[in-house]
Amino acid sequence: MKRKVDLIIIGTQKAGTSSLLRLLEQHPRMTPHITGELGFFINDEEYAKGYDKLYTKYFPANVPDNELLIAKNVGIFESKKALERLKQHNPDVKVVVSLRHPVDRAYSAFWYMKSVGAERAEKFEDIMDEDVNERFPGNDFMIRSCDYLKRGMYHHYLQQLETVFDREQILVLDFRLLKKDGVAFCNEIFKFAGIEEFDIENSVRNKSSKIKYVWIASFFGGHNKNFIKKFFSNLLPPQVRLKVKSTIKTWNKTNEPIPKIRPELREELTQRFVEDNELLYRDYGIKF
Amino acid sequence: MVSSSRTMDKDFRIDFIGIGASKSATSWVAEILRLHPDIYYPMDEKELNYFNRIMPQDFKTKNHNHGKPLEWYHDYFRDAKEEQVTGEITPVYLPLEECAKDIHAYNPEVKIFAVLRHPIERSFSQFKFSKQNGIGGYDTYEEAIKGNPEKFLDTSMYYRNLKRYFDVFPKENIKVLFFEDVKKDNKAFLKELYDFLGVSEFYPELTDKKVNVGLQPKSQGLVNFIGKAKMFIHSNGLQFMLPVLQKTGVLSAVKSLKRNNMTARKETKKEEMHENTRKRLKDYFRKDIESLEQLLNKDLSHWKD
Repeated sequence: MKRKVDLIIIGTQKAGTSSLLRLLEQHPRMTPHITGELGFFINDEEYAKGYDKLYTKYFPANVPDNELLIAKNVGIFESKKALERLKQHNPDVKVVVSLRHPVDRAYSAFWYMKSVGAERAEKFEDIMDEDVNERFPGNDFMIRSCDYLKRGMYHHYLQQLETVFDREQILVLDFRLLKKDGVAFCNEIFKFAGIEEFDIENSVRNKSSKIKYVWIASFFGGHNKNFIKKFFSNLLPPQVRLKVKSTIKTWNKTNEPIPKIRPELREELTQRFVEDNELLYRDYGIKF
Repeated sequence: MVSSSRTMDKDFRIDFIGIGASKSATSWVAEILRLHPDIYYPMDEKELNYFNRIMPQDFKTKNHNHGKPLEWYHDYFRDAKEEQVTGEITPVYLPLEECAKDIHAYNPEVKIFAVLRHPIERSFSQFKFSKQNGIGGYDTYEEAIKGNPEKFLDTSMYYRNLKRYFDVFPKENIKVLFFEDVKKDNKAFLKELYDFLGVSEFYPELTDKKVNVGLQPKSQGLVNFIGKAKMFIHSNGLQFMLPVLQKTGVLSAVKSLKRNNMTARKETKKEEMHENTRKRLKDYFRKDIESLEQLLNKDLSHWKD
């Protein structure tokens, strides 16, 4: 019987979650998976294989009893199916959600999808109101990843989350705190996890920037399941694969930041979230 | 400072604190208590703003009174007679998280009371009042609840706020009254409060007079300027200047300038609440109202529509 996941970051996408996982890892009592995301709960193929089999792909062989196994997958937050699977896996799991301003998040997600070659639209405005089911019919991954604005209805998804997990198992944090005071942000999570405080070194920065070659990024994108990746995934151990991937991705980045969203557009789109944001403030104290 | 007063005794504690809610006739209550012979209510101020860490005008600016020694707080009661019941009303104590336990630490036997009003009406009144006063005001109600939900919405979450008090004080020491009862039968309202405070019945002529009602400025600019100046003094710890300004007549000149600038209120189209907003807020407050009904064992369905 393999160790179960004790704490998991389930969202939201583009709210510092990758950095967060690496920061939490600094705590001597937290052990994350070596990959970027834990695909198990969201990926039907992986889920079918069973947790014990997938465990070796993701986690170190022996995790001491006093350490917590932590994971991250930003697709889980919006997926009722993944949430149910997570609950079955460990009904006492602790769930962490980092939230970012819904419009900023949508815009960042758009540019991220462009950077991996999945999103072909030139400008955010061009596709922001198009029905994602018509843009990518039958493609679950794309439908999930490209419903940029809908994903920002956080209160709606938190309501769903609360139908699966108890409020005491859920920690919702403001991404701005991670940027302003990473130590405090992580200590909130350590406290929630029931372990001692630890002053992390906040040097991890995952700032989005434009990339050199879209085809390279596209190769590594989650939407891309080519045979070359399959070949290497069977040949090379996960740590080596990861190092190769991160080296190439870093090389592929330019210093050019992604363009900022027009303030008028940001204001106009924020209006769409007034109701959801109001309830988010009422129930979770986060103000966007 | 007169040091022979009992209020300078280190064991002195005031007897009651009105914790809220704002825009629910608390100023009217203060006026009446001030006249009550069995009660000593401070003459210099209505709201002492002692236990709150931030100012009620914007729910952001630090309150410089917080952390001052008890002697400063009790000095407001220096003229209280030996047998008089002492207390104050500061409506911002109700919504702020730390106040319940801080007040309890100050005096675990203190009597707590609150006057509650229809959450949406109270919130809307706060918006109009803030605009009238030029401090922490917004042009439209929708902007207000979005821009400062702490000030306009949290203040109407009565169950969430009162729960903190019910968690630390025995329920016999907490009295919840209703604004509608002031309008319906103010004598009965006062009698209930007097019984709670343990004082005799007393109904001065002021009972039927309206206090602190809504007015409208002729010049919003003047109001905003005076409001900003006041906040400037408070947020920069310049209160020491006030006695001088008082003495030289500057404060009373400003007060009368302010008074003459006010005229009867007439709502503009812009200030009206959108129907959609009202509908949304009914949903917003519903759960809190239902929890309050359970806590107080009182039917509040007239608040749910």
